[in-house]
This record gives sequence, C-alpha cells and structure tokens, in this order.
Amino acid sequence: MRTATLQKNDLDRVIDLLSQADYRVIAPQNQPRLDGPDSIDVAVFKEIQSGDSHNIGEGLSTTGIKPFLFPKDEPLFAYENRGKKVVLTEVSLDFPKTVILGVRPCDVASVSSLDAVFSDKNAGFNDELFTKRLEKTTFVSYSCTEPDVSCFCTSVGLAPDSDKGSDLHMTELPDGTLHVEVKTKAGEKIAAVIDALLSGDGDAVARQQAGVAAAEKITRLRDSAPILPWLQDLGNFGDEMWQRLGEKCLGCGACTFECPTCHCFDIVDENSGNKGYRVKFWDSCQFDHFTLHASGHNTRNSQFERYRNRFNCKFKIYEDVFGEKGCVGCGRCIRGCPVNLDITEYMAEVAHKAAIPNAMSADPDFE
Amino acid sequence: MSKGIVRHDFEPKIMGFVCKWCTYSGADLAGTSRMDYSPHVRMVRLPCSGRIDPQFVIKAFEQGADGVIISGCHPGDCHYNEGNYYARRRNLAFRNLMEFNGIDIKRLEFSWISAAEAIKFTQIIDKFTNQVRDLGPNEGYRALLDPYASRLVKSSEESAA
Amino acid sequence: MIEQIREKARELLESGELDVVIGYAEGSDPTRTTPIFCRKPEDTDKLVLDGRCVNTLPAYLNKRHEYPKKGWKKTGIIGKGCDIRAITQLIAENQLKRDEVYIFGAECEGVVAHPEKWDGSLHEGNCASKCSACDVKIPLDTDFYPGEKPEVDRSGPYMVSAPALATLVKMDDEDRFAFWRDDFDRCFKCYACREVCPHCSCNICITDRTMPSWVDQAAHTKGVFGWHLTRAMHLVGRCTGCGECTRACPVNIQVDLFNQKMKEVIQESFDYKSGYSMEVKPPLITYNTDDQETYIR
Ligand code: SF4
Ligand code: SF4
Ligand code: SF4
Ligand code: SF4
Ligand code: SF4
Ligand code: SF4
Repeated sequence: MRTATLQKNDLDRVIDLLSQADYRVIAPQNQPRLDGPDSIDVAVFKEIQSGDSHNIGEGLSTTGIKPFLFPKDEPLFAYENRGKKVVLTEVSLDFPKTVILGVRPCDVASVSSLDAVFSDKNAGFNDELFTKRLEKTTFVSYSCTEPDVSCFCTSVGLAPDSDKGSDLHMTELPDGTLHVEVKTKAGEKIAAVIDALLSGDGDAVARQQAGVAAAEKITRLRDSAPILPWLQDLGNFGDEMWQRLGEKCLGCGACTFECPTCHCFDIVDENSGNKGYRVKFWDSCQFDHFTLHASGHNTRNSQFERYRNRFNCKFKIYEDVFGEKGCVGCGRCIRGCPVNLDITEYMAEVAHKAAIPNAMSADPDFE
Repeated sequence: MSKGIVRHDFEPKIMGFVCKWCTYSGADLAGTSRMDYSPHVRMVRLPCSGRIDPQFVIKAFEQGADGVIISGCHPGDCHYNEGNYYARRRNLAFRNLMEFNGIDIKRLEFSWISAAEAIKFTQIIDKFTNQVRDLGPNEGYRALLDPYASRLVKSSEESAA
Repeated sequence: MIEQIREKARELLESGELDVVIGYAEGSDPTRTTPIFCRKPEDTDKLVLDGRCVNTLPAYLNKRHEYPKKGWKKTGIIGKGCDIRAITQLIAENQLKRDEVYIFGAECEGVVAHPEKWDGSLHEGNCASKCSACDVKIPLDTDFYPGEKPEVDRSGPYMVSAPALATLVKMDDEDRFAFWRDDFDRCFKCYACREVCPHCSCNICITDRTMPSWVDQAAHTKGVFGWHLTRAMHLVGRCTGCGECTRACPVNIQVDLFNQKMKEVIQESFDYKSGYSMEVKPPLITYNTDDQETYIR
C-alpha cells in the first residue's frame, strides 16, 4: 500500500483536515497541573480541536487509548419503575467516526487483545459497545524513537516501530520528517483526507533504520519464550516465587487501569429514587473483593495470588484461549505501581527457573 | 399571618437532616401552631444530630439538592448527652471540606433548634430558603447529576408504541 | 547509618525477637526503591535508606492488608519521621499495639516527590514539599536509632502545607470546583490513593459497598467527587501527611491537598496534630463543651 512523507509540523494541519472531514480527532495531550514538586506531567488521549496543543511523538502517554473503545464507565441502559411497569431506555450505539492520532505501537497492538475478549471472534458474544466503537475508529500509529527505561515491547514480540493493528503508521525519521505507511482501507481514507500534505514515496530505508535504532535503546530485555510452558506446568502454580515477589503488592488497581489490555469490568445498578442506570465500569483483579463470593469465601485470598492471576492472565490464559500474549510491553504497570512491583521481574524469574530443570520448590523458610 | 403568594424564577430544593428530639419537634410545633414557612425543605428525621453522617449531605448534593440544612438540640440539651458535641466538631471540618471542594458554603446550614423554638425554626427555614434561592441552582453539581443522559435513545415504551 | 540498622535488624532476626523487618531495597530501576520483607538475617544486606525511599511502609501494618494473616508477633519496621508519625497514629487509633512493632528510625534528609524525578540527588526541584519544613527529620518514637538521638524543638509549624494549597484556597468557589471537576475527569478509581494510605484502615471501604451504595462505584465525575469527599472526610484528624496518596496517583490528582486543608482546619480549631501522641484522642472522636460554633445559627 501507499507510502509517503509528511512534515512533522504539518501534524496540526492533519488535525484540521481530519476535523473538517467530520472525524472526531483524538490525540495525546498534556494535562494542566498545579506547580510544585509534588505534581508530575501527565499526558492522556483526549478529543482535540483545531489549534489545541498536543504531544504526539513525545513519550508514551500515561494512559492509553482504551477509554475510547472501553470507557471507564458507561451505561448499559436506563430503567424507571412506574408503578407496576418498568420502563427501559436503551443507549445509543451510534458512535462518532473517530480517528486516534499518535498511538504508540504497543497501544495500537493492544486493540487486538481487547477485541479478543469483546468481539465474537473467540468469545462467542459480541459486545456491541466495544465492536461498534471499534468499527468507527481508525488508528494512526506513531513509532517510538525514544523508548524509556520501563518499555519492553521487544520482549513480547513487538517493537518500537511495530505497526500491528494500525491503519496508518507514521515513523519519525532523524531528519524530522515522518514516514507514512498506509496499512488498511480505513488508513487509505485518512491518507485521502490529508493527501495535500503527503509527498513522494517516503524513505523506507531510513524508516527501517529508525526502528532498529529505537529497539537498541530498550534496556528491559526478557526472554518470554519459556514463560508459557512454565506456567502451563501447573505444578509451578504453588512456586515460592509468587509470594516472594508479590507480597508487597498493595492491591490498588493502578497497574490494571493503566494497562491497555486489562479489560475486566463490573456491573452495578446506580439507583436514584425510582429510576437509575445499569452501569458497566472498570474492575480489577487486584482488588480484594474481585473474587469474593456471596458466601464470604474468597478464591484469591491474599494479594500475591491476585498478582499471580494478573501475570497468568497476560502470559498463559490469553495464550491458551486466544493464541496471543495479553501484554504488549508498554511498561505502564511498572511506571504506575506505587510499590515498584515489576512484571518483568516475574518474567526474568520464570525464565531463570525454567532454565534449571526441577527447580520448582516451596521454600521451607517462607511462610 | 399569610404571606401572600410570590412567584420566583427559581425554587430551590433543600434537604433537611434533623434531630427528632429537638428540631423535628420544633417543626411539629410550628405545624400544629399553623405557622407559615417555606415549603422547600424535605426533612429527614434522625435520632440525633450526631447521627447525621456527612455522607448524607454529600448524597443530597449528588441527588440535586441546592442547599442542605442540619439541625439538632442546643449544646447541653442532647437526648444522648453528647451527640451534638460530636456533630459540632464534625460539621466544622465538613464545612471546610465542602468549601475547599468548591461548594458555596452558604448552601450548607447548621443550627440548634429546640422543641420549643417553633418560631426560630420557621425563621431559619425561611431565611435559608431565601439565601439558597438568591444563590440560584447548584450548577456545579447539577451538571453532574445525570452522567449518561446524552447516551440514551429510546425507551421500551416508545419502541412498543 | 543504614549499616547500623542492617546490623541491628540482622541481630534481632537472628535472635528471633523479630519475625520480619519491613524496609526498603533497591528497586527494579536505579531511580526506585521497593518495599522488602526481610525474614532471614541475610535479607537485611539488601536494605537501603535514602531519598528514593518514598513508600509509607506502615501501610503494611494496616490490618486490612496481609498483616494479620502472616502470624507475625513482632514486626520490625524502618521508618522515616513521617512514617513513624503514621505508626503513632495507628496506635492512637487502636489499630496496632506498641509492642507489636519495633521501630528503626534514622535522621531523614527528605525524599523525592516522585521516583521519576530522581536524578541522583535531592534538591528543591524534586524534593517532596512535605519535607520542606518537616519537624520529624529526627523521628519521634524509635526503638533503635543509630547513635545519639538529638533533642528537637517541635513547637514550630507542623507539616507546612504545599504551596499548591494556597493557590487553590485563593481561587473563588466556582473556579475551585471547576479545577477539581477537570482533574477528577482523569480519576478512574484505581484506589491507589486509598491502598497506600496507612490510615485507610477499613476492612471493607464504604466505596466497595453497594447495599446501600453511598458512593457511586463508577468513575463518572459525580462518583469521583463522592469518593474524594468521602475519603477526605474519613481522614480528618487522622492523616499524618505522608503525601503518598498524591504520589501514588497514576494520573497526577493531588488528592492530599484535601487532607492538608483538613489538617490546617483541625490544627487551628482543635489544636490537634495527628501522629504526635499515642494518648491524645483524635479530634473527631472527642469534644470540648466550649468548642467553637461560630458557624452555627
Ligand atoms: S501488563 Fe503492563 S506492560 Fe503489559 S500491557 Fe499491561 S500495562 Fe503494559
Ligand atoms: S502491582 Fe502495584 S499497581 Fe498493581 S495492584 Fe499491586 S501495588 Fe497496585
Ligand atoms: S516529611 Fe520529614 S520525615 Fe518524612 S520524608 Fe520528608 S523529611 Fe523525611
Ligand atoms: S489514585 Fe488517582 S486515579 Fe486512582 S482513585 Fe485515587 S485519585 Fe483516582
Ligand atoms: S491521606 Fe494521604 S497524606 Fe494522609 S496519611 Fe493517607 S496517604 Fe498519607
Ligand atoms: S475512604 Fe473511608 S471507608 Fe474507605 S478505607 Fe478510607 S477511611 Fe475507610
């Protein structure tokens, strides 16, 4: 498909043209903050209007694009109790035509992890709230050139210049121009809208080199090959490592809510008088009541078990059920964890254990 | 004693959380004495001002109240001896918290009204009602009340028709 | 300093006096440290203590975390001055007994506000604002202190609030409401602010209760307002100003500003400083008959 060159300072024009073409344009934007040492810069994906400043191409946003496919909260329907009759009101499934700009390779790859759960491809149930949004969304991805210390996409089969899941992929070249690759029909439409800004065929060689150079900057390197077989050996479920590495976990949901692939949700009726909404909102396997049964029994009764679940979900359950990893190596769970619990330490530990046959042991000194 | 009917552009919704021993009895007395007072307050009777959890007030604002009034027995008169002393401390903190949150603190009223103070009751209610009416609707919160209104399409009733 | 603590910790683990020592070890990146539970004497070699040690470890002493399940009789814990304040408050609130813990303290130079701001040293640009006028750099209550513990005058200001607080207080109500509303838009209710707090000690938090549901569980703006007001109210007179709730928030919502504001109110109105005494009752569970009531009609 088509390749071309785009000037980086034309990104603002891209936003203008797409808005004029009736796209809802989403881009990463720095959030305002109070001065002082206690606050940090946070960038999130938000709807952008012509002229707004954005930070496409500057680092990885704090949270990903998940909220635009699977919002942190949304109604399933509204209800009203009118005497003997309950009146239900449906929610609209007519979502706006959307383009998300500046999506990092890990984030755009994560869409397939969400799709695996919410579409009927595997699960046999089609969650229209997700799939109808996805149908309307075009992803314009953007290679990383400066991966940071927590990134480890290369350890889970991706790369800083990966275009898996992308509709139109951009790579910033050392000369400051952007190499544009159209990947899908939806991407073609975007290219048509911004056609006036595109020139030539791009420089495929420089793009290739930019990807290699970025990958070389990644320092968190883990061998993920041994993980699946090691986890599939159910004897390792009781390994001492789980508690040793996981007991410091405090059970917040920061890792799961920042994670682009975590998809668990809860449903509750938000009542107000005789009416209300049935609401779907994010839930986290790290919460202590996530597996709490009505009987009072909790199948994952301590925090290390909950993180064990999270790790297994990403590296075993996803592989078993969907044939792909549930982690895209974005490193957000590492950056966001208040106690520096690091998923790549688990990866390293597993690789280490897998290398020593029969190394699994319950540490007698460990209660 | 009738005040005559004055129409206003805006009639506030006011929640009252009151102690049953003093303020509620004071309201009763006002009622049985056929005193006039603003009808805007929806009153919830509780055993003691010490039982009035700030959570009630937060909920009231979340459900669309423009003002909230809390009232109990005068210090020294608490049916449980000390409930109102706790309430006094708690509400001092709570007012400051609400203010820091950006709620105009004139929307939150606290008073001591005994069972005999029917006149004080009507005065406080009237005054507070006017005060909240002057402030206008609690716009900040009202904008948040129905988070999903824009997402709805049609009700089962409409689709059946 | 840390050598002496290591040595003492090792000694007490060897003798069996302590079941565990909770401290800080090197993290997975050079800018981070991470909590460590030393059970074996040799684990103490891993202990570190410097400006990167941001966590408030007494959160682990909180009964709703794993603590009661571990069967530890006596827990050693390494604390900065503000952490020890948290322990003192836990004891004052009957969440912990003094003889269940053994406190290792040391002089504190302050900590970085966020690990990502660590550049090898502490300076004005990256030091947490709670440290700027801290009166517990020499900690209060310790069982072990390396060397001689100097006497400190603690009559001065207590936990001076962050400058950001003044900025907010100066705004008019509407702007402040708008500020929080816009900030809360980012909150996804991960509850990191709750989990890191040593004083959010409830077995089941009110937000996790749905029957009845006092706080909307969904993270729409109304629900987020409800959550933060509730949380701040529950911590009145209890928060010991560690700032961890703000530090832990992944989306930079400075929730401890609510707590700092409440700390000022409590100190002005009731002359109470949380975390300085195991005996003085926290302000909201007690009263004076002549408490101020200027706001009451
Ligand atoms: S598990 Fe962590 S690194 Fe993997 S996708 Fe989720 S947040 Fe990113
Ligand atoms: S791993 Fe970290 S971020 Fe995740 S729940 Fe545990 S403490 Fe929170
Ligand atoms: S507040 Fe005081 S004791 Fe706590 S880290 Fe800062 S300087 Fe150290
Ligand atoms: S840590 Fe931040 S995002 Fe998480 S619940 Fe608290 S304020 Fe919200
Ligand atoms: S509320 Fe925040 S600052 Fe206060 S003790 Fe808890 S975590 Fe620390
Ligand atoms: S917010 Fe309140 S109910 Fe929830 S844990 Fe903290 S103190 Fe307990």
